[in-house]
Amino acid sequence: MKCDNRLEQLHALIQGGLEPADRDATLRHLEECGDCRGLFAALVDASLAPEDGDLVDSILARTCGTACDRAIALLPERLDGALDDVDRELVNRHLDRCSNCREISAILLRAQESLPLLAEIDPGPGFVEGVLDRTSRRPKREPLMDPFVTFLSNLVHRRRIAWEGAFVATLCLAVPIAAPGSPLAKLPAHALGIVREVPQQPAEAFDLLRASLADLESPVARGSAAAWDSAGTVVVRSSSAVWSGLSKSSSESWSVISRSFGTFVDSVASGQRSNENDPRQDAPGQDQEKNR
Amino acid sequence: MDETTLLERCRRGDDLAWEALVRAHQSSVYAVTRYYLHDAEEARDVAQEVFIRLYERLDAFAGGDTFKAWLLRMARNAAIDRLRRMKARPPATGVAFEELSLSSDDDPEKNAQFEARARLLERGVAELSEKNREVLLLKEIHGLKLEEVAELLGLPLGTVKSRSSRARIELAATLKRLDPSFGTGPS
Repeated sequence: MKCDNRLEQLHALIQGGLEPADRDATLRHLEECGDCRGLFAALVDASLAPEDGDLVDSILARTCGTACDRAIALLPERLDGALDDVDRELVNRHLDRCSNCREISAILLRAQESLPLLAEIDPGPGFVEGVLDRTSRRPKREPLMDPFVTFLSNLVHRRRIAWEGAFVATLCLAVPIAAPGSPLAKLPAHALGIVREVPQQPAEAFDLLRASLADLESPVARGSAAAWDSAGTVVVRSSSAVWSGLSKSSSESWSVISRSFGTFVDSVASGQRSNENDPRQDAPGQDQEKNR
Repeated sequence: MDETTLLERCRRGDDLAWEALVRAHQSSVYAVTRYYLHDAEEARDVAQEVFIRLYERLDAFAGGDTFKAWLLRMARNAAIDRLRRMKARPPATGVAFEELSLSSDDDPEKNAQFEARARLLERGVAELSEKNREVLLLKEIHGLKLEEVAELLGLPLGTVKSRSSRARIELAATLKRLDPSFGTGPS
């Protein structure tokens, strides 16, 4: 071993950080070298001697000042386990030597354990009941539409709803047409006219439709004449064959219906007249009148 | 029963679950409102309003943060709103010591130590600066995470972290001054 490297080797020997081979070599050297033996002894004495706090403090006072402020600032993170390895080691070393910081650290730990005691304060008797009375125990209000929905549901499930619905629908159709001065009063006549006088050709039907709409003062009929003409051409071209068949069968059907209806009306009318002439149907008063 | 299950039951209209939820959180909600409002009756009234609002808005909790953080945020906001309406300043000190009913142990000696420690802590907390005190209340006392406190107060995370550290150090220094043996007593 060269004596130039002796300081590091001897320090490592004291700390116990040498490999066995190197340790043996160092010990053999110490047996042979008096200078190194003296240095080794001095190093051993220094490691065993208590630290000179006054010396450290005086050095720190003349340099950066005490490290307590820095250590205390890191104490909360140390308690939370949030320090990196180097900072944690440095703080721990400082705490080993500084009673004031050790005391602060202990207080911090105690406070951290005790502060949750203040998290809950009893609000006193009746608090929960007061809350429940204003929440879950309060009569539940129905949503606004629920009564209406219930009413409709009950209405639809009634037995006579179909009859009642038909009656109302008939009124809704009849009143606007039959009301005095109604603008729709001519609509039934127009509809009958169209059906009874079914045009033989689609063109006639289209003209009839246009005239009816104009008669009803419909804004559609007042539209562009060119648009009507072109629409009419398209309708006529595409539907003439179908239309003629439909109009023929429609006319035939209407003739049958009108004949049958007319026969029915006549039979009802004749039946009423025969009843009027039957002596067995005379009222008592009428007998006396006849016998006068 | 975990809180998620309890909340789900409450949403479905389970009155028993609602009562359990109120009982579980009444003390912490009242503690928060009591911190901001010096008057006990006002704090109790606001705490009840918080629960009523919660009852009407159970579906509003989306689950992004913990339910407790969400509830304490509601409590804090409600208390601050009431303060604004009252046009009062936040209290310079915290809860009166005699109102704290904390201990639940049967041992009288332990109870006495418990109460003494709590009172000392309360005095120490009361001497903190207002900003540090609020962070300490939410993080160290009510156990919210740094991120939750930052979101609740509308502050950057770094600011909350540094305030939390300063608050704890300030508290420790105050406690040491009030009772040097605080750190060495039995836990």
